[in-house]
Amino acid sequence: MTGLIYKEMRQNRNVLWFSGFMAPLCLLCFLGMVLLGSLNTDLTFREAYADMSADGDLPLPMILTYCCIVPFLTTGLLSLNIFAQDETKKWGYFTASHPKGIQGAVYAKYVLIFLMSIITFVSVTFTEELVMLLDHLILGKKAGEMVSYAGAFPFLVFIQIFLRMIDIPFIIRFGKKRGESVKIMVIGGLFIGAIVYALFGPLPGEDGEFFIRVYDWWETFKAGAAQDWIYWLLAGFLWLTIFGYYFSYKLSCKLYMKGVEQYDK
Amino acid sequence: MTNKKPELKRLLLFLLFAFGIAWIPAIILNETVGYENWFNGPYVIFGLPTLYAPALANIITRKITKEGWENSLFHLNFKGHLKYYVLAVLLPFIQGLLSNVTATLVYGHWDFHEMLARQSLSDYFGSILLMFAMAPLLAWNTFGEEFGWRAYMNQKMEPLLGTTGTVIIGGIIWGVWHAPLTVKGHNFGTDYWGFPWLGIVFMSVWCIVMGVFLMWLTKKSGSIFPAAIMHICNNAGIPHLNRFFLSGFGDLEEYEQTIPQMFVCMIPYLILAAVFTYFMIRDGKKQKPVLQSDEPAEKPAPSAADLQNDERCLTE
Repeated sequence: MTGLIYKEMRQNRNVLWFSGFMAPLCLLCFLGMVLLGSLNTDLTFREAYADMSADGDLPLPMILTYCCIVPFLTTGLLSLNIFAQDETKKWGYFTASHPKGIQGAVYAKYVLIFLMSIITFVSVTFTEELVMLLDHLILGKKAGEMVSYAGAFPFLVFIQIFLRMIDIPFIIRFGKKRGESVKIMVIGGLFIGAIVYALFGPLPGEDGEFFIRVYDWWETFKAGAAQDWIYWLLAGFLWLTIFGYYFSYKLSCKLYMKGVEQYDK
Repeated sequence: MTNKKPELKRLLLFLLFAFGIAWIPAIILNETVGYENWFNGPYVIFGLPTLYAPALANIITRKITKEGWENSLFHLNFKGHLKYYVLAVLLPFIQGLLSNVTATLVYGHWDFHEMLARQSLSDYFGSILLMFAMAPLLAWNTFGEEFGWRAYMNQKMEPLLGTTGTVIIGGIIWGVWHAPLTVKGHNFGTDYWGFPWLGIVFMSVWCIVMGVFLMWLTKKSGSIFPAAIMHICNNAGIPHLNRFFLSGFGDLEEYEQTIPQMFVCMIPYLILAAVFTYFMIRDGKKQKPVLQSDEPAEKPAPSAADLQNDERCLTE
């Protein structure tokens, strides 16, 4: 099994590096934007940073939203590429004849996707710590005044794993191209539905009031003061993801040969 | 034939790096920005070398001594060992249960109504489910320590000192390694008799006890990850979930145990640790640890069964 995992890591080393460096890269881009902003206006770097890192009415710091959420989204999408490179009939038949068999090959992919999520998680945590240091050095913020998303990162990892647990069997059964088309149709449908709702449906509030409410709810939740059923719901989601990921692996093993039969080459 | 001298040299080199890489930045940061600013505050990013010092020491020692990566224990080893991953989450929970129930029975009084008035059963079980699922994800925080102490130090120490010696001396080393934090009140505060020496001694005792379970998990699973998970479950507050069982202490926000009280509450866990040490000694007798020798061992003559086996392979 170690050999197969090593093979996956070697083949996808660029994606793994990208998962690790995405968050600091986002921070660098943000600082570049701040620098450009300060050069184009009369503001000093400190003022431009203060202006851009906290977004007016919203209590959520823009810098953290940008540097912590974006890496999860991008690496989540990238993680699906690791299936495309092995989509040949020859490799599929070789895998089936391998002593570790289909189970070993699929297991290695599942482990790699989990590893990518963990690398993103660690990288985002370090980047947040870097942002805290910048806030302290540039804006003079103290430990108690800093907003941290650290408590939300494990949930983002679980959301990513949850989405992958649905994606992977589709990709294994229909191949990356067709699997992606099925997924895009589903997500596209949901997206169009959301836009229609945003245009014509009743919205929960104006001027970012909805986001402020979400943030308030998060603060209550973090303090352990939310209703009991919310903790049960979240715990249920986490355990569903853990067991779901395992069953998704089992399902993918079963669908593997059917998928191989459909490859072009 | 075994050769203890190179192993001892490797161990000493490892300890030099593990202490040096952790203590030098920790002492500098303690003196310049202050403990509260680097351990949880804005300078936390500079504290990272301290978290990963034992892992870095493992890597550097292996590189310098050209030891290679045999027995690095750096693999998941799920197959047949999943139960140790589950135990890694359960053991800190059991520790919390034992110590909090002991605290109530010895220093408080058992009042189930008070417990329920403070926290509902639904909230208690909800928190357990949430923490059990989430805490293992944070294991990268403690991986650095485990990849040093359990994946290197214990493996080098056991053939030299035996299982009991490794548990005790390894625990003391691990406890003393935490001293830059203990002297700043990280573990037990600063307001106690014998500060900071008693804190360092108690931290060593705690590390001996905790080290038993971590060593047992590592040896049984053949992987470093269950130990890293158990360590983070302990640090992330899984034992604290069982503060549910505290009663007779008034407001729990203000309740703090003294070091002697902590020791008394630790006794059941200490007994459990003794049982696990016995398991390790028993397993060790079945399978003696083998030291890497500088001279290649003589190859034993093939037995009749081996020859028969070879013959069968050739004919097949």
